[in-house]
Amino acid sequence: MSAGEGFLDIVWAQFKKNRFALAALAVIGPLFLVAIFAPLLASNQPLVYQQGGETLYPWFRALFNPDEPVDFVFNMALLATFPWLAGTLLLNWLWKRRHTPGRVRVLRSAGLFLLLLAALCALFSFPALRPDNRYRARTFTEEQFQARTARQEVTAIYPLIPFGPTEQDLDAIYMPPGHAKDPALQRKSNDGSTHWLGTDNTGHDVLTQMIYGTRISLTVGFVAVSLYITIGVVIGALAGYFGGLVDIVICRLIEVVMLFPSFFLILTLVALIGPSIYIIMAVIGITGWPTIARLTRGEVLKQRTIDYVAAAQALGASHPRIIFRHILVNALSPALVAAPFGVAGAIITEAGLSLLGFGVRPPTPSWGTLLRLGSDNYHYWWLVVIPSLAMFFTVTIFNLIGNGLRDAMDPRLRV
Amino acid sequence: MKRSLFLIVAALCLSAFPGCRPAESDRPDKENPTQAPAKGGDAAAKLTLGGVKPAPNDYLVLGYPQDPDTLNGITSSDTVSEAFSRWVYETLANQDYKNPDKLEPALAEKWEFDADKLEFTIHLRKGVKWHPMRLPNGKLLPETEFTSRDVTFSFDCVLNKHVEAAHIRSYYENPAATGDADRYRVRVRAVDKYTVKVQWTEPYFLAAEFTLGGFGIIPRHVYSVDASGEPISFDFTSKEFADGFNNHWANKLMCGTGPLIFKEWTREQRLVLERNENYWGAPFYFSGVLYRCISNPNTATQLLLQNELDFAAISEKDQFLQSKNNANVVAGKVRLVDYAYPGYRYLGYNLQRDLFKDKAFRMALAHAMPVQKVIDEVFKKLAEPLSGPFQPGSTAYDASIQPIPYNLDRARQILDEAGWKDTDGDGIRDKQLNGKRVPARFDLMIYSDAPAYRTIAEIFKEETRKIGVEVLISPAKWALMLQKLRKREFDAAMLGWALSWKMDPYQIWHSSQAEMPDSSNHVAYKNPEVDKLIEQLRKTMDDKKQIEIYHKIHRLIHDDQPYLFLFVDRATGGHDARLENVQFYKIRPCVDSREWHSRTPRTLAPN
Amino acid sequence: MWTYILRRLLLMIPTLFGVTIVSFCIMQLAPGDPLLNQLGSGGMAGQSSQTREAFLLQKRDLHLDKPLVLNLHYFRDYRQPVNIAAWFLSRSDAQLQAELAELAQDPKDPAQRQRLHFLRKLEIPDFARRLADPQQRASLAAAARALVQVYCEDLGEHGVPAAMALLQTPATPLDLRIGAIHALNHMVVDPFVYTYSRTPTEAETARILAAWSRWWELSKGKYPPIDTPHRQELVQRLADLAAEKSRSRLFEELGYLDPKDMGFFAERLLGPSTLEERFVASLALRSYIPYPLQLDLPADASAEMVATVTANWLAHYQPRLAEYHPGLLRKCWYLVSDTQYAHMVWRLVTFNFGRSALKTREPVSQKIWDAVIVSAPLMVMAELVIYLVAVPLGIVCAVHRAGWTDRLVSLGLFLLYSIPPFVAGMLFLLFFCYGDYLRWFPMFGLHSPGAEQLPFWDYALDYLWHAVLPITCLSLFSLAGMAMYSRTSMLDVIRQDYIRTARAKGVAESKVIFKHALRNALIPIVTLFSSFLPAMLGGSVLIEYLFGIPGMGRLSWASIEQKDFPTLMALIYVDAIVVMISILLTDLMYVFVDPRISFGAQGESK
Repeated sequence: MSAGEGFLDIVWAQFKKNRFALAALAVIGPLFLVAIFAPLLASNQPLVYQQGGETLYPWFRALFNPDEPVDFVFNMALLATFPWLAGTLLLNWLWKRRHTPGRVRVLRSAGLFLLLLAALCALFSFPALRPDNRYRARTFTEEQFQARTARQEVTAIYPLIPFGPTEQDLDAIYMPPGHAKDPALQRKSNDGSTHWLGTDNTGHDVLTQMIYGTRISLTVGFVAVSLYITIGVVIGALAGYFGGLVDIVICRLIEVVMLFPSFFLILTLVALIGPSIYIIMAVIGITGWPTIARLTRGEVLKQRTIDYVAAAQALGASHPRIIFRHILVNALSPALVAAPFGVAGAIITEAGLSLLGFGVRPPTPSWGTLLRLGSDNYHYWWLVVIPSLAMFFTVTIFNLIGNGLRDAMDPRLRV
Repeated sequence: MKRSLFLIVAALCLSAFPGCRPAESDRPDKENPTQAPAKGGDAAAKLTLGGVKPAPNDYLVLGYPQDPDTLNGITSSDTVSEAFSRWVYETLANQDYKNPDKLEPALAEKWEFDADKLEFTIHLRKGVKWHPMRLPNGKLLPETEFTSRDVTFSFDCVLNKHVEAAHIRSYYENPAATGDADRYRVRVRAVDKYTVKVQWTEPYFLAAEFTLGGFGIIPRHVYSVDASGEPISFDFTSKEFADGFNNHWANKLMCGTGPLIFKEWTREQRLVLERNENYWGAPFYFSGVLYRCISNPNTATQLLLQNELDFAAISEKDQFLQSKNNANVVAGKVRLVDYAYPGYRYLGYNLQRDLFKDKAFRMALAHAMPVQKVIDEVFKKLAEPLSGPFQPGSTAYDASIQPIPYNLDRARQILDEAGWKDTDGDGIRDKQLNGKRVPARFDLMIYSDAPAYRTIAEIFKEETRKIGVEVLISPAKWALMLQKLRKREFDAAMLGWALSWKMDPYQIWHSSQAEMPDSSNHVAYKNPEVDKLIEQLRKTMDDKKQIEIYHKIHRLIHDDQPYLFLFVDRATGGHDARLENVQFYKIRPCVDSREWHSRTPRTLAPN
Repeated sequence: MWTYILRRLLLMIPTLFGVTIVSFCIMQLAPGDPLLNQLGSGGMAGQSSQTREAFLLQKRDLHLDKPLVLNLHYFRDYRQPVNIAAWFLSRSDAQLQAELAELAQDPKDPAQRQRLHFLRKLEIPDFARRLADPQQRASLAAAARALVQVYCEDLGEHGVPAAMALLQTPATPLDLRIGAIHALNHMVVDPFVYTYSRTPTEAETARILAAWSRWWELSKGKYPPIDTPHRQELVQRLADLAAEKSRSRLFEELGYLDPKDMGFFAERLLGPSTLEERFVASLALRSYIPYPLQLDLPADASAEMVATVTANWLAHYQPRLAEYHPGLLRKCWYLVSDTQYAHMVWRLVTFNFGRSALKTREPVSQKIWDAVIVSAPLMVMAELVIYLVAVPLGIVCAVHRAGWTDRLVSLGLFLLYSIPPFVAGMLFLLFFCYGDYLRWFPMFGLHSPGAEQLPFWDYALDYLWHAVLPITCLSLFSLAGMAMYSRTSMLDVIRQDYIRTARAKGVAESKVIFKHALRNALIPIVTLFSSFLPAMLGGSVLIEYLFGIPGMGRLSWASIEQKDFPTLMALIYVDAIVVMISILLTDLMYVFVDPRISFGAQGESK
């Protein structure tokens, strides 16, 4: 870590000077929180449901049994948050006494969170371990429950927005923002609430869809970009470090992939393989790497001539060790600068694919799917405007961060 | 009756072609001062319809959703080119719109057949001229009369096994053929210039329809020559000829005998047809038809409402209802219409899958589909449920059979009784099938570009979930869908059939089609009783007996539930109020544009 | 300089090779067969095996039946599998089911084990379980029969020698002979050539004669001898026909012959005569004899019938012996050349993209050209807007660095940069086109109906009116990027020493900026030229989709959706070449614009 520390400190110091970027960084936290805490914000599963002396906790049980694996991971993240908070506070107090530096604390705490998340995901991927998930909890619908035990006094406590991401309401198809159901039509305890951003083709609440849509967008953005940065950095470093034949072959490869218009290529691949969120992530990942590889290669070429490499070689370090331990740490900055822009690009690409009908599998909510519904009938303006704004907002944030990072990392461009 | 079945693609995007829409009423008539027709014969000048004389340069403007695959009347198999060829190509006889059981003479003046409908003698209309046609090098082909050689040539093309006309050819094929010699069950020969004899080797209940109206007759003098005007090949059965024919230079042009002459086609932009002044029948009222390519159905609706199209379908029913509040509709400048369209939607199960071999399971699913609710909320009551594979209201449909009602409790009960239990507590039922524990989970393939299908699929998913069955929705593009259907690589699919007036259930329901890779029986339905009935039906000439057999087939298929029969929805659309006498009929395309007329002409030059 | 260009061009060759490999991989990724789609595209599912036959022919024409990269067919011995296939094809349904029942018992008989092994290799879905279940036998038999047929079809010509060997072996039992004949019918779709092609050549004669002489052998007796006066007449007729220059007239004349005279034509065709006469004679025969040779048999055919049909097949086989048994050299050549990949590379390298897979069968190049002329003007205008707006904007910002103009414009540009073009497009459509709000611009397309009748200026105006929104969407994103880029590069230059020197010397500020700084600041902008040509050619899928513009983007999208593989391949390939060329051009321009850079310094690391 010693080689990178000084550099990262400089970058952070520079980054802090850019107020816009800092503000964007401050917003990105809440964006993730929205994604992680989506069920707490919006769910049609009551937190507590009482009827005729029987008390149920459908919300909690539903956390373990979502349709989409992406949702499952995010739900586990939600569960992991609370023990992590407690643990961090405790450890922080310990570290403070040992005068551990602040950045190390942050990194350790992040590591702790990832560990917890992984453990929870692994634990609950065995259905047998999930909390009681008999069919009532999985598909909690109040009508059905009421039918079983005659009409009795019902108490139901819902999260803030009492609508689920896939909850349908055929009486409220394509309702404009602010629609609330006529009391005469209400049949369930969550029926009376207002759809603040309207509803879509099957009566899904758009606000809920937007909230859960952040999960898909962020996942696609981060997974695809991590994928191609990893591939790109490794390939670029190999080319730059070894040179010669390896370099020539890799350069041709980079050239070949870059020759294809990327959206066209992604579209072709997705169309041929069949659309699904995983395919989309994978395809963006395997088509995006050449830029990164080229940048990294250039940087590694530069670094290789610097003395410390020769020193490491003289010490008898192995090639992998030199590449990954010494050179890459210093050659990573172009790839890191490209990352936030890449996330923005991946989010846009996913929405574009959805618009053309190659998006995620319905009824999984995503911003692109809403856009597509809007393009089917421009009369429903909210289906166009709301996801558009959300995308604009997210893309701006990532672009701002990317900008700040670039200014901070590339002194040549510092103005 | 050209071809009896089509898979419905989008929510009825098929009916989008014979569109009509009113002229803007603020466009004054004085812009088109009464003057002699710019060109054209006396026929058009004398024409009046409903007491109105046609104005010069009055075009009918319609839309089409996507380019046809080809304009070659014989190799084309899509609905768009079918809509175009209707104007240009003619068959020997047409189904009468008002009385679909009757054939009205077209290119044939009259015909005779023997008692078994085995031998047809067809007397052709004399003096019919083919539309003028130019070779690609600009040379005009000589004016040519329609004769029996054109008829035999057309049959030769269709029956050439290398020509891409399998969709028409299959009706003439002998299912028990052993070789080239007995491959087809028809023989066609020209007796003289105006007489043709068609011989069937075995009785077939649709023989008259397929002898006289199987496909549009194409001109021999055009399709037998290549781009330089030389014959492609002298052997119409050869592969060489078929190659030339499949790749023919006139694939992007049309030359027929019909009421409209093909003028031009620009890809993804427009197709223009003009009135045939020398038409043998009553000339077309309008000076021509302009088809605009409008790929987004929403755009088509807006253009209709803005009086820029004469007739257009509005496939989404909520859009149709919204349009009722549109200013132009309220002001009476656009008239909205809804009419019966022959066809139905269904959810077909791949019966080769173990899951769907269980009849009880299929029954339970049928009980879980809230058809009535979908009709009310998604289709805005513009549909009606159906219980079997025939057109409700037609004689083949047995009205005494009721659709399966929505009843979740009944569905659960059926599943319980059939041994579908949730043994592992994951909320999805399962059952031991062939020694394996099969969960009640399947993929439902839907067409990704039609919001209505998506909505229905999502509703179905939600309802089946309540009975412990999980449906995964996979939207697919049309090409991919067709491919999967052909190879039966799907679990269940939501589709539609467009039906013709009299249909032969053989292709969809006969078990001989169940193992075949490319057949229309993509659910692989097999029932020996139904097979027997279908074979019997094909040889039955008596109408009453046919109805009896149809009813029996209906009941058997209803009891088997190889499809979850959804509903028949009404076609919705609108037309410009300038069009008068717009009437609707029971057979496709449900409107007859030849009888439309207008007092407010629409000229093509933009304002 | 020329050596540099040459070097770059040579480097393109491996790249192009890589491009073909990637395109090939993409094509292979397509689920199933690209052809299957188009057979019934547009809403109609095929209904019978006939579809399969036409499909098969087309598949062979497009070489899709070939192996992917290595063709080993010529080196394999197919005698055993063809024997087994023939055996299966000769069984009736009942026999086949009985056989399956025996196979289910895990037989010891080697012949049966071979058959079982053969069936397993056919990849019948769920084979083991269906074999064990007596209920499934009937459907399994049908599936096995269908897949054996497919096996024969896929084997194609490579199986013919084996099947013929089976027929020529005297010891082969009758039923196996019938099976072999069935197999041959599946392998060879169109065995005989009966007539000459439009421009007859001597090379065709052997095959045509082989077919007709076999026919004449069989039906000689049916044609009575012709008396002399009539023969004279016919000789004259044939001479006239042979001399006929107009093929259309010849075509007409052939219709007036008497079917009874066919014996005469057969004699002339088979006897000594000129090429023209043979040509006419073969046409005459073909017009009146629809099914000259029987090639298939019912399952219960007699030994005589089998012998006749075998002889018919021999008539097909013998003139083609050399084709069916190529020499070792040819075999080795076929090993690499007769493959899907080789055929594709050949098509691409010769720029012979062929015809679209859609039924109109237009030449692909025509299709691409039609789309280019739609999207190129749009793209040119968009690029013009980008350069004309962005570069001045960037310079203004750089000059007033850190002033409020700079901050405001930079912020605005930044926000623009974050709007995805298609989102902008949808918002425009929503607010300016669809009637709910404003209706300022048309909803789709590039022309009003009937616009072609307008005078030029009105036409241009109409076009502009349609094009404004698409152009705006196309340029917004790049505009912001370009402006930011030109600002940075201008700033870079302004901080250089020579500018400071100029200023210190007291050169007027405007002169410093325009004369000294601007020229150098523009150099990096030249690099962006490399994206110009590809963009012009590539169009934009989403914008063209939203605005219904039939340009390159839409063509790409439509080809993907309709699985029009020839067009798709051509698009990818042409795009790649254009990008390569424009990168080369950019590098060259760089050198010309900036004297500091020379060819020597460039090379690999560009």
